[in-house]
Amino acid sequence: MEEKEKIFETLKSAVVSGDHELAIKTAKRAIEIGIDAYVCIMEGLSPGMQVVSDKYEKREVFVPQILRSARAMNMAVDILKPHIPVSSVRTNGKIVLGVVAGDIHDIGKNLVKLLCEAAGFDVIDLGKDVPVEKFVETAKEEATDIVGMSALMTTSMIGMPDIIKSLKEQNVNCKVIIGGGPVSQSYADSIGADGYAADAAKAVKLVGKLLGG
Amino acid sequence: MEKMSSKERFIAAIEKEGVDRIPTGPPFQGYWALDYLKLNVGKSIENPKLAALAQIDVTNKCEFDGLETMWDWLAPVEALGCQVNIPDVGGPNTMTHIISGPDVLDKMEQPDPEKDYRAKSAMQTTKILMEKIGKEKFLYMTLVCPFTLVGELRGVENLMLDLYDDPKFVKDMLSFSTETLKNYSEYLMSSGVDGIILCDPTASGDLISKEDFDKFSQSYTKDVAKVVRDQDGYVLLHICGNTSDRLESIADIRADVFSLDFLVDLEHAKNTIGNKQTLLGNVNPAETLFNGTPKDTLEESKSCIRKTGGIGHILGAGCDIAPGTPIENIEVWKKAVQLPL
Repeated sequence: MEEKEKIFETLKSAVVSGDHELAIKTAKRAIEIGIDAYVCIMEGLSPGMQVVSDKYEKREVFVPQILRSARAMNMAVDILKPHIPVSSVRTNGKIVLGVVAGDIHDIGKNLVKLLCEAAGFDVIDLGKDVPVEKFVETAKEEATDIVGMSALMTTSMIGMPDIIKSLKEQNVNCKVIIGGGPVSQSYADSIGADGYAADAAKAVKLVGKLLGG
Repeated sequence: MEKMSSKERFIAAIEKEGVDRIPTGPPFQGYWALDYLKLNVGKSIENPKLAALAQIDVTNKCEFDGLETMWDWLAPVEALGCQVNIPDVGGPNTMTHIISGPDVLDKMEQPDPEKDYRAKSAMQTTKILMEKIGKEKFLYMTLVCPFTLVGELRGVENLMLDLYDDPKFVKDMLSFSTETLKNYSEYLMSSGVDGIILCDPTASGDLISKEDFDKFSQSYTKDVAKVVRDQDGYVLLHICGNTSDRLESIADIRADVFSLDFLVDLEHAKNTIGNKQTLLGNVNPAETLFNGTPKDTLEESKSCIRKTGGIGHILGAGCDIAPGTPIENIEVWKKAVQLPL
């Protein structure tokens, strides 16, 4: 195997096993021997995160493992990023994410963010307890393709239709996806959301589908 | 069969003896009842009497056989020094996580539950409810489990990483929080309440694997449960998320009642652990109770009862009854339990 291929494989397995030390070491090596940093992300780190995402969907790994993998990936990206010329970065689409007002449970949202970024989407993270106006303003200003909102509490889930209504009233042209414990496909349908995903792995697939990827 | 009192019925279901009909237990109605009576959560802590009256009001309407007399299950979080936000509606949120590292844990001291204003208020509410409806109804208090408490103190994402980065640190935090909760359990049980429902949402089947559940949640919860049992209390347990793959491990905690999340199929649970413990559930709290109609609730309740044959089963929701849930949907339970199987 060529050294380049070996580096991609090692980056991938470092992400899958959540070994951030190996990820850092390998990213440094890649820079040293002059491998394209952007290709390292696309051929090594990102496919590694895809493997983790698939395993999560099949309940073979759980949240601790995803967080470890994401940490390994992000630490390697930090090393690679300064070596990527801005012009070579392509984004697959722009997404605004947030947990709706009244709710501070953000692990699910954070997982969606990690997996979306790994899949090459540009994510604007509004955090938790996000008011309606903030979603709408950001979607407008950033001309985002998708607004994703989540809630773990039934009491905050009921804020979702307000956001959809406000986006429509202000003619913001974007798709809306929702997720979280109390939310379901039938709830998504009832409030006019464009999609629902039961977990973070399915959310990334949904984003890809909605953006025609 | 002769008509039983609510309490007799609830206890008979726990002991898997014959019942005149299947009992109902919300299992968590506290915050919903406060909101139904438009009683702000902060006020309810200041005024235990009003808090108790709100519970009596919904219990009269819905005819619960058992209910929680303490819903402030995260009270120890504030007593341990985290900043919290007490909203008008629903449970307090943890805003800061005090255990930034092992050095902080080393310096932490155990809080005295008798000095915790929230636990004290819950005790007063409980005493009022025991006086007013305690002879008739099965009453229990709601308390966090050690693993979830550590998640609040440390931050859930930090804890998730710690599980593999520094398992010894996790075990130290768990030993600390177990001690805290044993003290709280002893204090709460001194009210003479019938039992405690221990809740472990962060040990959810959606967050950690069965192996990690066995390692970091199960035995610590068991230690707290023992304190409840040693004071002749019944132990109820609620774990969120899909726990279908770890029901045996959950049964090993030997709670008297396992309250299922609606993501677990009641029939599967009945077949797996139904001979070991009584199951509570399992009507979908968001889709059915909150968003659905009385007719939807009746259908789903009937289907739940069919799945257990009404034996070793308490009819209730698959998690909290969310504030704002129409009372008409909850009132349907009293109808559902009267129907022939």
